[in-house]
Amino acid sequence: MIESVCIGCSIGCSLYVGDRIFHRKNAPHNEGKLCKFGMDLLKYYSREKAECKVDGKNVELNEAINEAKKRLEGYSGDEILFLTSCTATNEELAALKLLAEKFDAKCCFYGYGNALFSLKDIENFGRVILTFDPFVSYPLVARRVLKVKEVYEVGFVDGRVNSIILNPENPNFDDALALLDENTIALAEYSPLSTVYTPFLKEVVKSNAKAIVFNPTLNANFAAMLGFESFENKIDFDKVKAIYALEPELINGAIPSPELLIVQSAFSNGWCDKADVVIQSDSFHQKRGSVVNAEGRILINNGKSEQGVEILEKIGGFEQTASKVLETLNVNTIKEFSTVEITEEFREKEFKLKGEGKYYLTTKSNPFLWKGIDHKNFVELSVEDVKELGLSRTDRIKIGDKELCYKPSNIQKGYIVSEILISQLKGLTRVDISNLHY
Amino acid sequence: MKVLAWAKDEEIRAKGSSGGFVTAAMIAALEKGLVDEVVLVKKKNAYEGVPITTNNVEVVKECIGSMHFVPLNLSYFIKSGVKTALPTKPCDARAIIERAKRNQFNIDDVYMVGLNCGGTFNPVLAREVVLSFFEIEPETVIKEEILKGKLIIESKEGKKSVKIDEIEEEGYGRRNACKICDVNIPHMADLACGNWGVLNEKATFVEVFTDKGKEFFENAVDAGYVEFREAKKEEIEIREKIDKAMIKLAKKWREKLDEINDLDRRERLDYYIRMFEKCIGCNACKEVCPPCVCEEAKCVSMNDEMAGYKIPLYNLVRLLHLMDSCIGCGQCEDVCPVDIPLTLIHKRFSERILRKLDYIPGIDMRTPPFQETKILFD
Ligand SMILES: Cc1cc2nc3c(=O)[nH]c(=O)nc-3n(C[C@H](O)[C@H](O)[C@H](O)COP(=O)(O)OP(=O)(O)OC[C@H]3O[C@@H](n4cnc5c(N)ncnc54)[C@H](O)[C@@H]3O)c2cc1C
Ligand code: SF4
Ligand code: SF4
Ligand code: SF4
Ligand code: SF4
Repeated sequence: MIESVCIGCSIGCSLYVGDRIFHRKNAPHNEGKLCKFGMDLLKYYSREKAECKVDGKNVELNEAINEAKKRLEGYSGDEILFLTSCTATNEELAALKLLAEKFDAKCCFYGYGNALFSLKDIENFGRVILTFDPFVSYPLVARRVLKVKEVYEVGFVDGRVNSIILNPENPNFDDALALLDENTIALAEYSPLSTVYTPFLKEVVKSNAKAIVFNPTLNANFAAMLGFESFENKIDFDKVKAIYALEPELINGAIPSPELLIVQSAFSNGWCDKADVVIQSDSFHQKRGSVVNAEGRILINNGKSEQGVEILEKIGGFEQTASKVLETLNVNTIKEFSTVEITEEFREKEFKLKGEGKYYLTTKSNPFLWKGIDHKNFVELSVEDVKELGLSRTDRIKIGDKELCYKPSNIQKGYIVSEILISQLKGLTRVDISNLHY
Repeated sequence: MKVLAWAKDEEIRAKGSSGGFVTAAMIAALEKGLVDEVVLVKKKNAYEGVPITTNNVEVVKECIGSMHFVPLNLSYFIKSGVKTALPTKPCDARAIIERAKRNQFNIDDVYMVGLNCGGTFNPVLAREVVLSFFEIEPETVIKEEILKGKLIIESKEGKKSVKIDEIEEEGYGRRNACKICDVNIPHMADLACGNWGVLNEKATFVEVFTDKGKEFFENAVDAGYVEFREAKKEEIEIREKIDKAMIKLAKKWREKLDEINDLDRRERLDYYIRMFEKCIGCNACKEVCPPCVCEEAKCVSMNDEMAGYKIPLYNLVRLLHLMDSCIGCGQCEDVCPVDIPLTLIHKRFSERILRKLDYIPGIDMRTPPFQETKILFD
C-alpha cells in the first residue's frame, strides 16, 4: 500500500492506495476520513491511460519528449504558455516553472493560493460564512463547521444552515460582509464556476478577515507559491501560439486550439485528443513527491515514479527541480504534515449573468469533484416547479439539448440545482425547462 | 491451558510488548510451515502502523510490539485458501469469524493469535494527548505503552505516565467504540495473549482455547522458539479481576456516552434524523465494516438519492442488516467524515434484539439469526 493523497480537491486527504483504498487515520487534516470521491479514487485511476503520440501517431516516450522539445524551440517565449490544473506534485510544478523560465514564457495555473488556517482551526471560530454547501463540496469541512455555533451559507438557494440568499440579477454581499468580525472565518471556493462569489472574496481579503479558500484542484497553493499566474487572469489566448499543458484535465471550459498543443497527462481525455504531442506520464498515486494543501500543509505521495519531473527536465535540460522545491517551501527537508505559510494577492474576477431562460441554474457543489465518476444525470427542482411543470415521477425533462431526470428538492421556486449542467454551461445561467412526458 | 510464555531469543523477548511470545511463535509458524503467511502491523512511527502480509521472518521481527494508537482491523487481509496466522484483538477475531461465516475464507486456515485489548486511541487525538497531558512534542515520542491503567510515553527526555482515567475525564483517550467494548480477552480466538496477570517478569500471559491454538503454541515450543511455565493461581486471579473491572468500566461508558437514553420515542427519532441527515453518502462505513461482504450491497442498491428521505435508505438498511452482525469494532465511526456516532447507534439497535435471540455476533460460527430465518423461508 502506498501512502498517497487524494487528488479530488485542495484538501488533499491522505490515504493508502493498494488493491483497495485504505484509510490513513494518522493524517492530521483528514484523520483518514474521505468523501465519496476519495472512496472511489481507484475508479479514477483505472480509466483509460493516455498514449504517447505525435500528430496522432503512437510513438515511444522518448520520441514524444524529443518532439515536444524540438517543436517548442520553434517559438519565442511570448508565444508559449505553460499551464496546469495543479493536479500535480510540487516537484512537477517546480519543473514546469523552471521549464517556463528556460523559455522565458508565462506559466499559468488554475486556482488561488492562500493557506493560513488549518481545517481544525475552523472549530475555534464562533461564526463561519460559507460560499458552498460543505455536505456536498469539500465535505471534509463539514465536521469542522458542525462544531461552530453560527453557520451561514451565502448562495442562491436555501441551504441547510442559516442562508444568506442572493439575487442572481444583482448579487449583493452586504449582509454577509456585515457579519465579518474577529470571531468569523469565511470558507470560500475559488473556481471558474464560483466567480459569482469573487466580489465577496475580494472584500474578505481586503478586510483582512480570516478565510480559507478551497480549490477544486489539489495543488493550487504550491503553484501560487511558485508565482504561477492565475489561468483566467487576462491571458490573451489569441497571442498564444504554443501551449504546454501539464495534467490539464480539470481545467474547465473550451480546450484552446493553438498552433502547437503539447499535453502531458496520465489519462486519455479531450486535451489529448486535440494535442499535437501527447506525453503519457504515470498516474498521481504512482508518483513520488509532495503537495501543499488548502491549509498550507505539506503532504507526501509515496509512489516510486519520478517520470513526470524527468520528462520536464529532459525537455528543458535542467536538473535543479528538487532544490527549487525546497527553496520555494523555504525548508531544508520536506517534513510530512508540517505547514508552510503563504499569502497571495487576490485576483479580480468578473461576474456576468448569461442566458434569458426562466430558471436560474446554480450549483451547490464543486462539479469537478464528481467529474468522470458515476455522474448522476439529474437536476434538483423546487416542489412548486415540479407541480407547475406537471412532472410525474417517471418523467424526464429537457434543458438545452440535455435530457435529464429530476429530483424534487427543498429549494426555492425558479431555481435549478445541477452539478452537471453548470459545468457544461460554464457558470450561472438562465435556462428553460421542457417536460418530455415519459 | 494458561501459561506465562516468552521468546527464547533474548532480543525478541526484550523488544516484545510483553514476552515477545507472539513474534517468536509467528516466526516458528512460518519456519515450520504451519502457515503460508502472517498478517502483521508494521510500525511507521508511534501513531502509524501499516498492515502487511509477509512470510519473511526479518519483517516479522520488525513488527514486534503493541501499537495502541493504531486502530486497525486486520480481518480484510486474509486471503482465501492461504494458511494465515495473525494477531487478533477481540474485534479482529470477531471480524474474522463473521467474515468466515460469509465464505470469505475457511476459518480452519486461520490461526487467530488473540491479543487482550483494553482499547486503541485515534492517532490524531493521541498526538493532542501527548502534547497537552504529557507536555511532550508528539513527534519526539519513541515508544508508548499501557500498563496498570496508565499511558506511558517515552521520549528523549525519559518516561512519563498519566492515568488513562484522567485523560478520559477530559474527553480524550480511547475511541468511543473501545470505551464501550466489553470483550477484553479474545476467548473466541485460538489463543489469547496479554500482560494482565504478569507480575514484574518479561513474559506474555497466554491462554489456549482451541486445538488450533494448542497446535500453534506447541509448534513454537517444539521448534525451540518459545519457553513457558504454568501460570500461578495468583496470576490467573489478577488477570480475571482486571478483566471484570474493565467490563464494568465499559458498561459505565455505555451509559455515559449514550445521548438518548432518557429521551422519548419522538425525541429519539429526531436524534436519528439529526445524525443521519449529515450523511454524505460516501459509503465508507460499509466499505470498512468487517461483516459487510456483499458484492452487490442492498444498502447501496436500494438507496435512492432522488427520494429525499430524512434518513437515507442506505443507513436504514445498514442498521437493519447489522442488528445481528455488528461486532462493535468502531471502524465505521473512525472513517465517517461527518462524525456520526455509528458504533453506539448500531449497538443501540442490536443489543435488545440480540438479548432476546440469545445470540452474540463474532464469538462462534453460529449462523446469524436473521440469515437463519432467511434460510428457513428460502
Ligand atoms: C491495542 C492493544 C491493546 C492491548 N491492550 C491490552 C490490555 O489491556 N491487556 C492485556 O493484557 N494486553 C493487552 N494487549 C496485548 C499486549 O500488549 C501484547 O500485545 C501481548 O501481551 C503480546 O505480547 P508479546 O510480547 O507476546 O507480543 P509481541 O511479540 O510484541 O507482538 C505483538 C504483535 O501485535 C501486533 N500489533 C501491534 N499493534 C497492533 C494493533 N494495533 N492491532 C493489531 N495488532 C497489533 C504486532 O504486529 C505484533 O505481531 C494489547 C495489545 C494491543 C495491540
Ligand atoms: S475532500 Fe477532497 S481530497 Fe478529500 S477525499 Fe474528498 S475530494 Fe478527495
Ligand atoms: S473495539 Fe474492543 S477489541 Fe477492538 S480495539 Fe477497541 S477495545 Fe480493542
Ligand atoms: S457497523 Fe461499525 S462497529 Fe459494527 S461491525 Fe460494522 S464497522 Fe464495526
Ligand atoms: S461513513 Fe458516515 S457519511 Fe459516509 S456513508 Fe457512512 S454514515 Fe454516511
